[in-house]
Amino acid sequence: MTGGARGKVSDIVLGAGDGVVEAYVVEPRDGAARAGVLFLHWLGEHHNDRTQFLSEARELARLGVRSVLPAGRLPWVPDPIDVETDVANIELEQVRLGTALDALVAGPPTGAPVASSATTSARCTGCSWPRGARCSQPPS
Amino acid sequence: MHGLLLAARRPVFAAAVVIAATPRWGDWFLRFWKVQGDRFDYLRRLAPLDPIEAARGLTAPTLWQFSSRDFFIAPMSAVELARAAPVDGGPRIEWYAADHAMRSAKARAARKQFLATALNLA
Repeated sequence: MTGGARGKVSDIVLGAGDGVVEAYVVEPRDGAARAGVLFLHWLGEHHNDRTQFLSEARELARLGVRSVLPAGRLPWVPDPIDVETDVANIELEQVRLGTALDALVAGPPTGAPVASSATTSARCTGCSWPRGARCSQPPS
Repeated sequence: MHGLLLAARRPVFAAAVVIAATPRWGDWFLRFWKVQGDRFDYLRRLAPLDPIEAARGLTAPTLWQFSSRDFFIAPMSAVELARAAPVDGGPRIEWYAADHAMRSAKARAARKQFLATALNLA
């Protein structure tokens, strides 16, 4: 393992409509990522959001890992209320997290451990984020 | 729990770490929210989406981390979930002296090492 500067952190919004997902992206500051990690946070009384694994993602960035840390929705935002609604919300969460996963595999090179076939063609031309992503903090 | 379902549906993961998860959505939702309708119908309808069903479809090496003083996850539930994964020789389960929040430096170090090995970062 090699050291180096901790990763750079960006705050982005992926997807659209009900499937919108806010996420942090942590990348190696010096050089391309060679693997990716999707961090999904817990439900609890502290760091009950996408900040939970931020420091771990920054540690892994020193090892060449690009991480995506999406915000959870169910049951952080809507409460579970009945079977129809909850099934729909679980499926919606899969859409949201799938969007976050797509953003992850679009980062490291094809063949990096987390990726199957990286969708590198899904990048916008103005920055390094996937097409459709809105960058609240452009990559530095 | 959402991650287990995602990993089963999108088998692109080279490795997974599962921390303090419970086998069924109903374990949380029925106990801590006022869910309307019949309890058994609820459990039955959500069953195909339950983490324990997703675990049966896991293909990646998985590290399971649980706390020995977790109010929300009984050890028997933790073992039930991890054992659902189809792994030769049984699942890799680690127990930590912590509560559900899993504020354990040892757990953090262990999953970092696990990921470093699984992702060829060494």
